[in-house]
Amino acid sequence: MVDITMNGEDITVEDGKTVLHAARDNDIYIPTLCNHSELSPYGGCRLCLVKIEGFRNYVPACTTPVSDGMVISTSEEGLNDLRKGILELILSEHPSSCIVCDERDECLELHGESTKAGRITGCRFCPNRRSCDLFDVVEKIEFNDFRIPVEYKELPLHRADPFVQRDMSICILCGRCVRVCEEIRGVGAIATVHRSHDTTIGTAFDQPLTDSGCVFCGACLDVCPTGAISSKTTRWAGVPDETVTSNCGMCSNGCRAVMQFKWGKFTNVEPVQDGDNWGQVCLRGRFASVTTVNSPMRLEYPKVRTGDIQQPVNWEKALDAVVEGLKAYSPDEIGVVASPFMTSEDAFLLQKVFRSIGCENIATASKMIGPLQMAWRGQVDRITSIGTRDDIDDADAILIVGSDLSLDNPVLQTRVHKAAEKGARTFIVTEHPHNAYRGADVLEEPCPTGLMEDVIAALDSAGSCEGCSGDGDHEGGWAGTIAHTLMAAERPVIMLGQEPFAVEEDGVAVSSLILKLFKAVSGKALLILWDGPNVQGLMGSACVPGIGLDGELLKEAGPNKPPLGDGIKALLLTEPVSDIPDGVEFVAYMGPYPFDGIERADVILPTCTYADSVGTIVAMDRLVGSIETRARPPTMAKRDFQVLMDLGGRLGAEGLSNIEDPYDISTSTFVDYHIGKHIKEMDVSADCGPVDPSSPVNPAGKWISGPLRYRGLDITEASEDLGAVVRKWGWTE
Amino acid sequence: MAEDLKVQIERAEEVWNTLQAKGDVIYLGTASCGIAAGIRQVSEAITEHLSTGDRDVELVEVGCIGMCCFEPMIYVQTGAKAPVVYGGLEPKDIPKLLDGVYGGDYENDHLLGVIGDGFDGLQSIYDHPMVAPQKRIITENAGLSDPVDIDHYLARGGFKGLERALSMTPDEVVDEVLRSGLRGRGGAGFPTGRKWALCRAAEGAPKYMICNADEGDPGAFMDRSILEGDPYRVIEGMIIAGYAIGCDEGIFYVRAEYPLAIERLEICMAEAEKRGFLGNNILGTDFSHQLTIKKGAGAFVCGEETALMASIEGKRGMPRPRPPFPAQKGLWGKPTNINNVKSVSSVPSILRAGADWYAAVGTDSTTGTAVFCITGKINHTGLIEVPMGITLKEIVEDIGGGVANGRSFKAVQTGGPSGGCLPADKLDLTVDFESLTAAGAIMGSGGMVVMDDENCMVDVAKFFISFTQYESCGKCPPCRIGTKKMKDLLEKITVGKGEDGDLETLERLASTVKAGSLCALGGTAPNPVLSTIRYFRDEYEAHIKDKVCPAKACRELIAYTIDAEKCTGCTLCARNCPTSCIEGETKEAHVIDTDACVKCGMCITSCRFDAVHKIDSPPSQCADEGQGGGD
Repeated sequence: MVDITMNGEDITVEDGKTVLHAARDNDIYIPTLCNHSELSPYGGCRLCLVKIEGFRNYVPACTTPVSDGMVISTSEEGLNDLRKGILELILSEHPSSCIVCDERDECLELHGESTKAGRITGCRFCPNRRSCDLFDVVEKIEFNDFRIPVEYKELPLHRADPFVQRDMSICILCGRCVRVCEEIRGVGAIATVHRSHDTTIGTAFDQPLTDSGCVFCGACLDVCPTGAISSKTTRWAGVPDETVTSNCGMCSNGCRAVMQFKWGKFTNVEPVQDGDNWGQVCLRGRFASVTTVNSPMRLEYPKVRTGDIQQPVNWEKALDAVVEGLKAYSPDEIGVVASPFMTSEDAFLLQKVFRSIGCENIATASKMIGPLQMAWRGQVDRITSIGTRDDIDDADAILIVGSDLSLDNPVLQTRVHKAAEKGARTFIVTEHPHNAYRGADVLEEPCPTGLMEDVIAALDSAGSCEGCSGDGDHEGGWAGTIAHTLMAAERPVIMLGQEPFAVEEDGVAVSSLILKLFKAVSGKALLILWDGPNVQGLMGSACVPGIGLDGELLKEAGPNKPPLGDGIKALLLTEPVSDIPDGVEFVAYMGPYPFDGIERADVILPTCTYADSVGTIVAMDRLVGSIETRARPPTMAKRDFQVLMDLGGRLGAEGLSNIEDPYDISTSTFVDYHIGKHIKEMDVSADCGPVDPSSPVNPAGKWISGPLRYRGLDITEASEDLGAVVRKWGWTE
Repeated sequence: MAEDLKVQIERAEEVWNTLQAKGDVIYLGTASCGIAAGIRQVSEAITEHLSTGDRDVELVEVGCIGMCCFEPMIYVQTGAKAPVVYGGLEPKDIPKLLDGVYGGDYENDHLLGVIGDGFDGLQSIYDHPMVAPQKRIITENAGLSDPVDIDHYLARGGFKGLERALSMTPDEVVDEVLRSGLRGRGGAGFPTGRKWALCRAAEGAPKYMICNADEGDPGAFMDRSILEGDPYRVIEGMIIAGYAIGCDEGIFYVRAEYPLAIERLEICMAEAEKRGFLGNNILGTDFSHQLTIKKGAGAFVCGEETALMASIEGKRGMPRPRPPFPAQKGLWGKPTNINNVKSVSSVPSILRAGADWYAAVGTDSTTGTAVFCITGKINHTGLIEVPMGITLKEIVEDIGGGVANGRSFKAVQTGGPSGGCLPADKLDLTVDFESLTAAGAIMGSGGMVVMDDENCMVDVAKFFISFTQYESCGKCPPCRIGTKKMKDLLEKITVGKGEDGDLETLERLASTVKAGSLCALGGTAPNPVLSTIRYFRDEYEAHIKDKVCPAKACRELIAYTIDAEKCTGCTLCARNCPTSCIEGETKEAHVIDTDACVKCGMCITSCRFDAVHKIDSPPSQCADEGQGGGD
């Protein structure tokens, strides 16, 4: 601790803090535009200049660390004039009528209602939605004296990029976007370009963002103080009338995010500043989500088949048709598919309704569960990630197999980057190497089985190997290098992505090898990057064959049989399947989107997305999150929960009488669930002993899942921009 | 090891003495300046002329002696006599000159003096008015020896400083430099010894030593001349600094626009390593030091030390605030010491001759010598080295030979775009860091531009602010936007659109830029504006109030006219006029059509009778108003 004097007051500050931090901790206001809590100090905007005794010139508070006995003045006449002078310079180029207009106070209410023009032309058309740092600073330091000529930059708009529009004419060059891109995301797609008065933020050689390595995480627009970088998907939506912090339901990372709504419509997603996702979201969670949820393809009406026509009907008739359809079959002939996009409560309710009528043929639409069950049973007692994402932070070696993180769990890359910066050597083995994290050694490998075998084989010699620091020149090539790095590491972290699970056998083989490797190198964490946001939750909701309600592998053969197997004549799908067997006579589909093969459905029940539902989801490392959203479902669509309750009632399911809302299920069933906490640690090093090999596993290979799907919908259809991006990255489904 | 050095020096002296005693040698001034002035062509003429005779003449390329106004120069050595310097040569002068010299007639229009004692009635070059007041320490070898011949350097006392340094402890070396009073020659004047001590004491390894040769001031070429003329001196200084600080890696940051300097440095580094002065176990000691060259891409701001380090790291050359200082966290986050070429070059002499010897040169507060490039409207332009404490008057009038073309002195600008303009009544100022700063100029890195009554001070201020504005990295608003606004205002004033209050706005902007900028580029950028306002306010006011340019330099405010009395009607001006706006019959007075005139000045330059003049011509409002008048 050091003692300093600030504005005449003696205060004690933690050593190593900057003058700016010290001031903020003591409620002393120092204006700043370039400073950001998550980013390295920059000292560029010059508004935080303070006077420190002993220094010849004013110094920036944001970069100057406190030292004992420092005497600081944050506000005195010369300093205030200087700040106003600097602010005047900034405003002389920034269309700032919203700040200095005579009628400003009268129209403040209308600020940011919507961006009605592509380019900012004055107070009304700023893409910034009432969150302008520049405006705040002007208010705080009471600037109102304009004396130098105003001249806007009038640079051309960048509107050709996917998702984002850049208007560098309103940029004040605080450099936050460049720093967040480089420091937090490890991407470096944008930089300060040109010099002198022509300095601006741009890409190398003014390439489009798709060519600059941009991952479209949108971190730059989160930190932009003026709206120079804005989201195309939301710039027309105006200021939200409702916001709620909820979980994103796109991938298994389980990011908390601020969901924004206007007039009942889902309009935008912004990150939670200090959540488990480090104040970050990604291109799917932020951009594609809005267009996906608001997609014109959403199912709006319940429908029942009459002949060849699926006729819109009311809910009563639709539900009756389901009950009537199912009653024609014995429970044993009915198959039920649970969607990994459902909440745990909905999934629990789904299996409860059908188990109560005697149907046990329930499975989850995940490609990954089955192969992992086959490969891991007998060795672990639960199919789950080992360790948590926090283990990445202090990892000293990282191996990612079967994912490039750019689409399936992009936010994890921020942690990988941080660890890599601290020295963790990182390997990414993927079939999509084009946009993988640039701080890693990226190996293009459509099927990693061979490489994994080589790595395990190289483990024996790795202990005695010397001088393998070079890239890939280790004895045994990359396999040797990976083996040695993992062996030498004290806290290696391994991640398993969904790519190898496209083929069931590969999935089984890689799962088995990964666990073996993990044990051999005494890994710190083994993270399974599930192919759906709530796969982990569905395993705890008894929707997976061979896994009990608490998520434990069943030691004895359970009664389940595959819902798409022989003898199934009626199906209830909550997630589309690629190929409905010919033997199936009756299909009821509940979900928000149509799919290839929906013409087979006898009844269609339109349901909701994560933007219009409520419930719990469990992320890949068992982090519990909640969906708590406010969007109005389209026309007649209902939440899964409501549909299942109504259906359960009609089918005569028992035990539903004491359930009124989803959280009645969570509190009674998922007692370990606490939002924002990891479900209790599970020890995999203790073998769980033999599991009955005839015990069923989740059927693999028939599910439509992948990072480009949301409840079966190809989200590149809902978001053209996403399509453009992934095609550029070389993705084909 | 000492034996080895002794042997090397003996051999080097032999080489040098042989050259001195040789019958016929012609030394060619072959720095960039000489090359630009045409030494290559002169050299060809010499070779061609000699090929006709049977004299065995050796040609030796040497660096720049600093008398730029006399380039291209050769020194002719005959019969073991001291070389005689001839300047201002053209290839056609060579046959007559050489025939004369070899016939024993040394005197001709090109004669400048003898390098060494005069003979046969010839004056020593050291008595030449441009050279006499100088004190050559850093430039002692420049122009006198082959810059890349290590033997020449050794024979002239080279590496003796390093030898002495290695016989001392690093702390003693730091102390020696501290006691010498050497202050950083990059502009700020921070004591070099203190800088070294800070870096030496800093925790962290490895440490880096950087030589800042990113010289970018308009009209300044001291560093280039030193690197081209005596590269071994800079290398020796770097090694000594490395030893004192405790670092084994040194980096030359040289701008890529100095290809000859880079080429010579590369040759000399290789040669020094071969001779055991550089690399592992220098002179048989445990001390090892590696040197590398990093070429700068030509951004002025990269001369700022934090931007320079960012540039070496491969990042955009933008400065960052200090603290942390480079000595704490510099290149790659490690303790780093950065010194200007001239500071580094002073070190070998300090170590060789001792701190007391060096401290005796110059003034109490600023010891040693200052290297300036004097340019502008002056008779003797060139690179000079003078003891600190000399007056500006001595530099301008004695060394510089006074203002050229018989015009009158108006101002001297020191310190380049960061410096200021001093008027005639400040010529008695002594040259040292404090007095120049107090007067509103700065010592800077050594540019000195002399201006006469034809220079408009508003225009000069505009020139310098345009330079800094263009060279701003764009990181901080005061520099990025402030200098632009200042430039715009000056532009407005020079075209006659100045208004009341513009000067005050200019001063207000200047103070914002000065106090608000992140680095010294912005922090000093307003100096040329502020100093010209301070000393030449009347010129600004003439522009703003009367719309006239007293120096008749601002094109928008003047017109060209022909004095009918003086005009002989020779038609030369009319024939040279690019817009054919001069009319008149042969042998009758000509007239300029001012509407069509583009004010290029061709008529003035072509007139042999001094009949064309510039007159005040405030921009007429009639162009706007007259037509609207309707009568």
